[in-house]
Amino acid sequence: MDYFLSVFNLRFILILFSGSLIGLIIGALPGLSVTMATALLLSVTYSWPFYDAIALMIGVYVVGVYSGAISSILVNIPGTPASVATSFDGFPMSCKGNSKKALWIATVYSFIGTVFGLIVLSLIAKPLSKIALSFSPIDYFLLAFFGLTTVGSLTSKNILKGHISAFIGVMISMVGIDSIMGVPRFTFGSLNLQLGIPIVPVLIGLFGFSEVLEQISSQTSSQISLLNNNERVSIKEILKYWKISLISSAIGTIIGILPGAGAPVASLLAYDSAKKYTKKPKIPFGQGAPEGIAASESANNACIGGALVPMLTLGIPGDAVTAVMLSAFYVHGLRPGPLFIKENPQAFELIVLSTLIGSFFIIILGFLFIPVLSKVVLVPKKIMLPLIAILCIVGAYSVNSSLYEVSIMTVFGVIGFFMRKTGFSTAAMVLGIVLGEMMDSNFRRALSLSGSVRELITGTFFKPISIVIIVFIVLSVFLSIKNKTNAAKK
Amino acid sequence: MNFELILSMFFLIFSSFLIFLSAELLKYGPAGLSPGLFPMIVSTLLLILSLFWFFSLFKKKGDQINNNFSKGLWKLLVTIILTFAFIFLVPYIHFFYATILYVFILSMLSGQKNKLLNLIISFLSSAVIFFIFGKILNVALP
Repeated sequence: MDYFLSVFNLRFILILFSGSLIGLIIGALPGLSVTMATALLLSVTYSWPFYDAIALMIGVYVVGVYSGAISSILVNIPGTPASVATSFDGFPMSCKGNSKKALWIATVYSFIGTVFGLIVLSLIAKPLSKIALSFSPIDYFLLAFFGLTTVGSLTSKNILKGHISAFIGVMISMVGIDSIMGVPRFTFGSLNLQLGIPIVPVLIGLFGFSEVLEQISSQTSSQISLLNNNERVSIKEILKYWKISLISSAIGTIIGILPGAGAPVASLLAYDSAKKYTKKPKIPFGQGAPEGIAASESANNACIGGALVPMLTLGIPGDAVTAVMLSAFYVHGLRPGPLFIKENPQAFELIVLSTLIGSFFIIILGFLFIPVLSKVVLVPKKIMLPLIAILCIVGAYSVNSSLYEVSIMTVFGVIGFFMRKTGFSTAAMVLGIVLGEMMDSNFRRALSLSGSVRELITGTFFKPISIVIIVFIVLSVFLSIKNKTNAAKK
Repeated sequence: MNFELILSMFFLIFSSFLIFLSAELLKYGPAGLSPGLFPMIVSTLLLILSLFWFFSLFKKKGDQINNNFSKGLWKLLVTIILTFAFIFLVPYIHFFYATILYVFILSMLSGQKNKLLNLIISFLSSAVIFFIFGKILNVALP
């Protein structure tokens, strides 16, 4: 206990708060990733005591994942890939004058998601990580395929165009050097394309820059979004989406535990499940449904606890940020693995507590900044649009300091603009891009491990994990068809 | 000709082209590990979906595409050209000055008529972005 108190003091909390503030800024600015911030902090905190270094990183991680929602809601530029699904309903809500409510929903459900993931981490970390380890390549393929079945939820009008958008997204994800054979694919001799098409500039282009193009060419109102000065947000109103939040948090935690799947997949899957779960939403999904924000934000923040599970119990990072954190552990002489919790109970407890306090900082920072941030939408369009355009450029450039990536962002902005105009789905395309590489590499790995398609199929159907995922796929497809049929009848 | 029909025909050609490119990749590596295998499956599915779309247009009246681009077409084109000009020019003129110019022209396109105010806003926004990203956050700027 004395040892615990010697570490856990005001200094520790202040460091955690500083990390949270950095996370708030980094996450909200498009192009600046939480992974990049933690990697930079790794070099800064090299000589710090272990607990201070970890407190700073956890602060950045927890609040950074949440704050990606801020730019998604206010200007339709996802601050992080994990907050793409938040923009589907967050930005329409903001456009209708409910930015404050949208930001509060994102804040509260990010908090709930983080706490949920944390509870799972502290209670059942070990058995869950063992299950995650038994996932084979075909299970990962099926999981990604399950993700692709959510296309129906991301396309409100023409489901055929939704699927075409998703498959084009999958094809885009395959541009570059093939990860298994090392052969360039669809690069047309370009050295830049050999590195693949970077996801962040694509996201900024498809959502942010296409919005600028749309607004400039339409010139409908003097502001992008409205601000409802009488907007009152009650706690009761915000907390009524708790059931969706719990389901989404569970999805987020499970996806977080699986190495390589990540928060973007979790939030898109949670968004889909919320759409299927909510029979009669007050506002349709995609047009400002609060349920969509609650689902996406609960899931992406629940991924934090999930991603920490395999990192602490097996020494396998669940996502890019935990991979950087893992190196911080090594730098300070700690070796996460099966015996880590037993041998370093104080370290484990402090990590859990730091994440818990970090989640409270989400609420505190939300309370401090939401009233100010919600006023961003008051800025007239003629001032706001050039600023968003410049933010898109800086965001795309800052990922790899490359003007080529700014060109990619611009090209995808134009593509996104025409997709909107012709009824295609940018969200479905993003889903394809996120899941494409995971599907491709795992499908081929599974095929080469089993020897033939026949063995692959027979092997798959006799594995419990695969059977569970297949059941989910069938259910997802069935519910999609049912929902579409019901919508068509109405 | 119906715009939707032209678009579906474009996708038919495009997916066929992708199948051709994927087939070229099939020769690398053993069958199960070939880098062309998965693209071949996906592009074939894309072709099938495009065919469904193409034929569905003859059966029923397709979605009404909002192809009223002409209204703000010139503004759209100017914004795209301006952005590519920014990308091309920024290595030669400093980011700070390029941003002032970019914001100034884009503000005019967005309806800002007061040129003096526009100039002040362009200068200030460029300075703020340069200071926050370049100096405080130490982010590399173009």
